[in-house]
Amino acid sequence: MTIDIDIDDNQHLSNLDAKDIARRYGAELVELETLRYGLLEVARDMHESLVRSSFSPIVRDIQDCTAAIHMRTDAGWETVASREGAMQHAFTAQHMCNFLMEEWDEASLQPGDTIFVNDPWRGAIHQSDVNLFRPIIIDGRVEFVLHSTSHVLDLGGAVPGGFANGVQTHFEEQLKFPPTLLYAGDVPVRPAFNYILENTRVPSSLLGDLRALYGCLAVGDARLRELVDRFGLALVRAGGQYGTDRIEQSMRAAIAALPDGDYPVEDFIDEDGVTDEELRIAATVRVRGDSIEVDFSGTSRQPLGNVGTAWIEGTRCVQGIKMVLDPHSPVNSGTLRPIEALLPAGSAVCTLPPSSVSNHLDIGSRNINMMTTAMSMALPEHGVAPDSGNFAAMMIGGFDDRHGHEGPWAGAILPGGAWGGTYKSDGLTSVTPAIGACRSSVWEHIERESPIVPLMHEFLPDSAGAGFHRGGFGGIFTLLPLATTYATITGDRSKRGAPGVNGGGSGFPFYAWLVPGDDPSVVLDPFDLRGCEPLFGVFDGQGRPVADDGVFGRGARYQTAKVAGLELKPGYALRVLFGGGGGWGDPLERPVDRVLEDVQAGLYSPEFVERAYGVVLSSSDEVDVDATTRLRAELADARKDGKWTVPAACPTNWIV
Amino acid sequence: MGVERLIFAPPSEQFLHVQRTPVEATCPQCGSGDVARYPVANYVGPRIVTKCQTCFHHLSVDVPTADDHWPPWRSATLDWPSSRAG
Ligand SMILES: [Zn+2]
Repeated sequence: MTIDIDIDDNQHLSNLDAKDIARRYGAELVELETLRYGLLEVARDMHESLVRSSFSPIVRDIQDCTAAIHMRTDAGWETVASREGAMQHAFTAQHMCNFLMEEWDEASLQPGDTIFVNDPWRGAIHQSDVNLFRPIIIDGRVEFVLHSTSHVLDLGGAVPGGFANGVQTHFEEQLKFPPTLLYAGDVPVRPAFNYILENTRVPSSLLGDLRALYGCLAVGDARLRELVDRFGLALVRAGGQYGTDRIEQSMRAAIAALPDGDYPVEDFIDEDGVTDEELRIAATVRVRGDSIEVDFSGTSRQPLGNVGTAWIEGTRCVQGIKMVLDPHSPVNSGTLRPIEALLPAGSAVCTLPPSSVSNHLDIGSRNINMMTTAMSMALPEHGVAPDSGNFAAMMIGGFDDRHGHEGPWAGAILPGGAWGGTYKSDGLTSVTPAIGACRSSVWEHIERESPIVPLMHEFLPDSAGAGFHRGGFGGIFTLLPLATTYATITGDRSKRGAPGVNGGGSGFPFYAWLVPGDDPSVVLDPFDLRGCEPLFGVFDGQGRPVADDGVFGRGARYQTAKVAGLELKPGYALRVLFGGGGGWGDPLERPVDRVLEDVQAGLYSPEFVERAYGVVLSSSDEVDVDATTRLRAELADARKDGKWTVPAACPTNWIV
Repeated sequence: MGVERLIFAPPSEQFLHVQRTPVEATCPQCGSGDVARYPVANYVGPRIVTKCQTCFHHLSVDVPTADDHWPPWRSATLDWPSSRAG
């Protein structure tokens, strides 16, 4: 059976009834719906197989991994279904497949061939995110390409764990693989495996992960063929086309509802880990009819350090747009179709080789925040404030010399972050920023597999940007090493926290200290700084964190929050405080009972709510209504006169 | 084509911009004469678009040629015959 798909018809799907749809796609609506969900189920099965069979905690616990199905279309290769653990992969997968298939000689492909790619200049996010592709050949032609992605713990290079802070070229980062045959007809290519396994610090974990990435493609191969055997190739393809058209229509309808206009946005990266130069990330979001152009012109030149990206921001931006405009539909090719990006070559969003690009987290978070801000300008009633903008990501490892555990080890720690307040509600607390939206680490697993003890992982009071809807709260994470451990810390928004919108205040910035580990009263009190060595942050002259008018790096070991090779000795703990999200709307308008609730929950201190919300407490469970009314009026007047702005979130009760 | 598009010097300008080259054309969709040609990342990958700047109607969407230098980098072996291993 062959089905002609008339995709030139300009009629929106929503205007068509079931008969029209059947005419357009050559199949009944119920079959098309069955198959678009059938493809999603294949992707889900692949993803579940990947998570269940992976070795490294990044995949197994954090779920920094994704599975996708690409289909041959007139345009090239389009993603008809994906299932993600890390949201960003769903937006970047399609370009990678097209780069690969334009380059690889299709005639040489055989069933069971599997190709390995982690090259950022061929669409990978960074070298740590590795991708396996498996062509599905049906009747002699590649019709689908199955794709699995995960972050791996180590792929060699100068800095264990891959966030190669401080280096200036990709040569010093993880091994970079242009498309490389990893399985030839389901047989492992031994030279490729040897090359990979002999150049990593954790061959056991990496081999497990590579087999999981391959195995989930074999699962997808079997499931997809079941679908094709049952329904026929033409119908499965029609279902894929219908599914992407439906998502495209959903995105276009949401874009068409925006006022046409140009929405300029910018955000900043503190520095690049090599120089103290601040990076400007700029974009003009142009809305015309039912399409959008995101022009990154005006962005800083590529940094010397590793905080730029090679190619991905052009589709990663779509994530921020979708979050506001069409948050509920699954991501596929249709999500990307209405949007084009302009990436200035040589800028931080289109760095030229051999630049280093291993820390994509900060620029990616800015990109998402900028897009939600632009959408908030177009739809002021749908505003979303920026998130904490960093994951407090840590790669840790070393040699475990404890009796019975001897050997090299590596792990990843993702304590999390917080989201900004929105037009609807307060921001989410204790979540990773939106580019990942993956899980944070599982501490029981970390303790079992690594010579470290996570001592604290909890909310950080006074860290959420003040607002009518406040940001989510940031957190405290403290770890105690039991053997000498080397840590890479990757973070930003350390000079200033996540900005607020619509009059909201900013969140608390990102900080770290080395803490004497022998006194439980000190190590378990995040506000007790006695004997602690500040690693990075904004401080006053006494070493107290001050978010609004301190000096970045004053008295600290580092002038950056992008650190590699930090030696942690048993007896000293590493403590990080990560900031909250920005606030949405005027905090002086936030209902006082909601402010009181946060104080009673231990999330805000009475001192901070008085400074930022103008709410005066007469006791721990009572608001002084008259004093509050007076103070709020005074602060509002002072703001009008330019003498008061909403203070950045910052705890005040430090012990120094 | 060889290895000349593998390694680049970083740019000297502080901020970078994408140039839009004006094209003599009229938009068939809205009649505007404001049409330009420039490199983009569209939904499948790098493309060169000729596009109405008023309504964003595409007059053409082209796969970049070697002369377009888009993206700037390029595999050294792109035109080589392929082996069983790629
Ligand atoms: Zn036009």
